Amino acid sequence: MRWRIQNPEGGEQQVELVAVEGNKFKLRIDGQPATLELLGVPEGLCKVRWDGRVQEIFVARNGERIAVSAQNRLFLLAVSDGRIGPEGRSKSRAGGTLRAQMPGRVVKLLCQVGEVVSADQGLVVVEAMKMENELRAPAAGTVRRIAAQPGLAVEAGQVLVEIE
Amino acid sequence: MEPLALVRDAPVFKKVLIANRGEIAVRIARACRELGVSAVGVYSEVDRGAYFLNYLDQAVEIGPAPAAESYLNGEKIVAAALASGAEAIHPGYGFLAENAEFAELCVARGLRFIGPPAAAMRAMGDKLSARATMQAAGVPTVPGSVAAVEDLAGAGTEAERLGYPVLLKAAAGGGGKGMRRVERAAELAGALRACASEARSAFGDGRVYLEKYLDRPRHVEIQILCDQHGAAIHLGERDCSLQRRHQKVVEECPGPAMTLAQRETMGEVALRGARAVGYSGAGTMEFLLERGGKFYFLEMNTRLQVEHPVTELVTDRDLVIAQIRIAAGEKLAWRQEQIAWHGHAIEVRIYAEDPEHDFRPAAGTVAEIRVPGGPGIREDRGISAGSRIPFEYDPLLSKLVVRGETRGEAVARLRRALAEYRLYGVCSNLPFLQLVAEQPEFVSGDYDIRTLEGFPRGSASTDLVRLAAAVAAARVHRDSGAGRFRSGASRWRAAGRERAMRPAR
Repeated sequence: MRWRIQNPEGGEQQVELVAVEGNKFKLRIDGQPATLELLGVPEGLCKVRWDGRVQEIFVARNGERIAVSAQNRLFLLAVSDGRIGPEGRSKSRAGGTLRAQMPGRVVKLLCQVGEVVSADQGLVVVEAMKMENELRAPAAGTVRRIAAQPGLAVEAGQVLVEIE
Repeated sequence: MEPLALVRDAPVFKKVLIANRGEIAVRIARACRELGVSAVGVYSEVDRGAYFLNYLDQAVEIGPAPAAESYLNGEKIVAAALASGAEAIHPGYGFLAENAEFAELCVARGLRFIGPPAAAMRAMGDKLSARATMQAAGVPTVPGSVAAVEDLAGAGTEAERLGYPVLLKAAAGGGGKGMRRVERAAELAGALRACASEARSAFGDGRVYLEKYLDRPRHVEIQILCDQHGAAIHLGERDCSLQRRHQKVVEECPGPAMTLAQRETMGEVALRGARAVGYSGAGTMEFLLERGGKFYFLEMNTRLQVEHPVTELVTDRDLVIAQIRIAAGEKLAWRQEQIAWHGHAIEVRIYAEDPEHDFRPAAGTVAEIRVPGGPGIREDRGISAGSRIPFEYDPLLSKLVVRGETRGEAVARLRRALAEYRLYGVCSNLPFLQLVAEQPEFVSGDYDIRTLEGFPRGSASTDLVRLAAAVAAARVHRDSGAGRFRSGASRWRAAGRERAMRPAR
């Protein structure tokens, strides 16, 4: 079995399952061999043996994603079938959609439907934890749809603007 | 013979309302409980069931999540205090803590405001008038303009007189907001326009003035306590130079650049400044300290500071209890010569922010938390497992404070405590703090207000990224039915976890 593990924040691993022996997973990650042993049920807080060392991790489903938390870092990973080729990859990147990177409240719109915008142009201002964050266009194009208005509370990953 | 045990009368108030949330609400509630005072809390809709409410004797819901409709709404808070029979309000820090109108509103409704008189807050709130008052009192201020600049020509003349680089500052600003550094004359016009418009929108006051930009000073502040009967003492300094975007990250006492003589000098100057505005309560005079010992008044925080535990650990004095006793009209229990400093304390602030992505705010839900313990550790925390971290408020989650006999011992303890700390399910700056604790500038104590700009942010190691991918793959494999959990894993539990991991709204 093969999976493609994507971190929407950047980075991607190809994981291949070579063999399962009980709780031991023999894997190839981007071609490099690795062994992961589950020392408990992979749900919530559990322990694993990785590279000979026991580590505590947290794992849970988070909607479409798998949340893995270890060493005080959090990964929200999208797992898909590894057979999808590189052409599928570029499509799934959806360069024309601006999503909220964090939960927050929309304070200002900096674009209008029909407006031609350039890549990296500020489109929406979202406030979170007393900080204003200007979210920029992921690509150049024409604003197709705006799914945000000032005052709207948004969640991480929520679509705000679609650009064609 | 005087008995050795110090006995003090129980005071003061029967009931106090805490107009704040998170770790500082817990801190104030602890002081209330030790005093035998009943603590009333307030909370917004999004804070229903929040961790800090566990520490209160009763709590009143005051409105929707946006701070303007809850924690910043003075009328609602005063109404909650009156309805619950509280006699005084402790504002904590942030929110209404430095709002002179709120202090007046409390007094007008027959409540005590646990903080300084409104007049002292006003005198220190406007930066230009504060500078003038301090100069008149003989407190050195950063070289700068005496009045707000009228126009570009006026600003240009002032900047030439002071010499570039200069700092543009909003007269109504504070806490590092509404500031702009100008390197040369060509940048002045643009910076002036931007600063004035920012000041107008943030503070409703577009007045801007100039200060000389000092070359890599330290931020050193003096903690003071004044009662309502004219007694005033200082409790020494805190060095808060390690800041990011004017947000403090690490604070310590003794300051690495301080001597006993320097502490005494700055302490006396701080008290002179406080007396000049008729101060009472706990307050902090912030200074910029240059190499060689020259120091300049920056601003006064007319409230309890986030980093007050640093001072509490080295002086063994409870500042919140002192605040409450002072507000109740008691005389200061300590004379200056009774204040002594023992050992070394360092505080780090744990924020819900993502160091890998330019420290952007990271709201979410804490899945699990394991906190450090053992010798020399104090943690003032506002979260526990299951806590939702709302995006509406400040991202401060917790303050980890360590104390050691020497600075070296404190640094070692800090590293040990950070290594023990585990926070699952949310992003925090913990990995960044671990890196800070390893940096040579921090370890040697030779740092200034710009040192942190150059520190590494540290991204996750390749090994950790691979581990996460492997765990995700194993989990998906199990879920797919190939190896469904056997060992009695409860679907209820799984469903509960899944709900807990949804982002906070």
